[in-house]
Amino acid sequence: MKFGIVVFPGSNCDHDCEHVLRDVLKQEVKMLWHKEHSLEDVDCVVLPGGFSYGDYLRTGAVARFSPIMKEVIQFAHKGGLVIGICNGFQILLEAGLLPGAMLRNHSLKFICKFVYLRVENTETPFTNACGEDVGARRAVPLRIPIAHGEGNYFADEATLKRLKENNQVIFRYCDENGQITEESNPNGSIENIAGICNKEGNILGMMPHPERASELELGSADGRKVWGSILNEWNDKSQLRKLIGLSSDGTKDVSVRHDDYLSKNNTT
Amino acid sequence: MESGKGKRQKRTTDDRRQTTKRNTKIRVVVTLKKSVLDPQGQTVQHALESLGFKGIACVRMGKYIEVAFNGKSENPKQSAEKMCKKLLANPVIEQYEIL
Repeated sequence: MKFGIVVFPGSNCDHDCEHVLRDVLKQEVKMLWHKEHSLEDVDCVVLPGGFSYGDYLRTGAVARFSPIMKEVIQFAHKGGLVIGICNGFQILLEAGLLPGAMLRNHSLKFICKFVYLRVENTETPFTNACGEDVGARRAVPLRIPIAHGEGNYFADEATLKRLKENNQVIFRYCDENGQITEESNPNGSIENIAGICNKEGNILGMMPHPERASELELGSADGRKVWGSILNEWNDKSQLRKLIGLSSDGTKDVSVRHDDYLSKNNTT
Repeated sequence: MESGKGKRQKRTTDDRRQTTKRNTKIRVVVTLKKSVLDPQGQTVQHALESLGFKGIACVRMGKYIEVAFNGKSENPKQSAEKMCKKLLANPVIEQYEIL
């Protein structure tokens, strides 16, 4: 699978994403400078975290008008997979690809810490591997870090209602047992929302950083469930292509390794 | 010293006259909508109250943006309106006023 990571001036999680996708998950990665006018032939676009354009005016407000965003919007409207992490989520909101907006954290502080996330919908291209774990009776909350000053998700009542009706709320901040509590909400987000997708399900925005939790050496590998879901989705879609021999074996191998990895992880 | 000071003042007045003649400056104030919680405003309000200022009903924080036009824009006010809608304010959470 080929991932395209968009690099804006001020992106700072682009190389973390690149490392996880290329070195850990053995996928093809193309770095896309924000001034480019083509996504080439990528299968999934990653809008990484950081402080694009210094967060001037509003987070993501300027990046949203970068030349490459035109291509990203077109790609997303055609059903292409787009994941926006942290600043990437903020850019997706500003671009109108996802509903709502980000406010300053309720505490007004920049918060960098591990949080727990309850996966509210495990039937999306980004969460299909987050369901019941091997050896567990129910979906276990993901432990993934956040690092932001403006992650206080806001949507008006009508939008919120629509999000819930269409199962577009993907992640909620919770405690380690999966309970949604006020204490587990780090930034004041409405209804503990940490991540949402569009109605069609091909665009995900999330404040937590799965790329910072994709290796056990870094304290958690739960982020791999998000990446693994994307790989699953792509592999499923390319079954037909596999049958007619268009896909390389490499992708299949990785998917197997990924499943192995998760089961090993969760039985301990 | 005296004469130098006078010169400098004169230049400033000239500059200002030129600005008003040829250029238009549009001032925009962007604030959070009333329905949106403003933790920054609240914090400032608490600080003011702790300093002893009484009778404050509400403090809201916002952004002040100046856009100077160089005389080539036909309708600065109209383009300022467009600027607000497209970039300067986010209609989901903010309202704007062109002063």
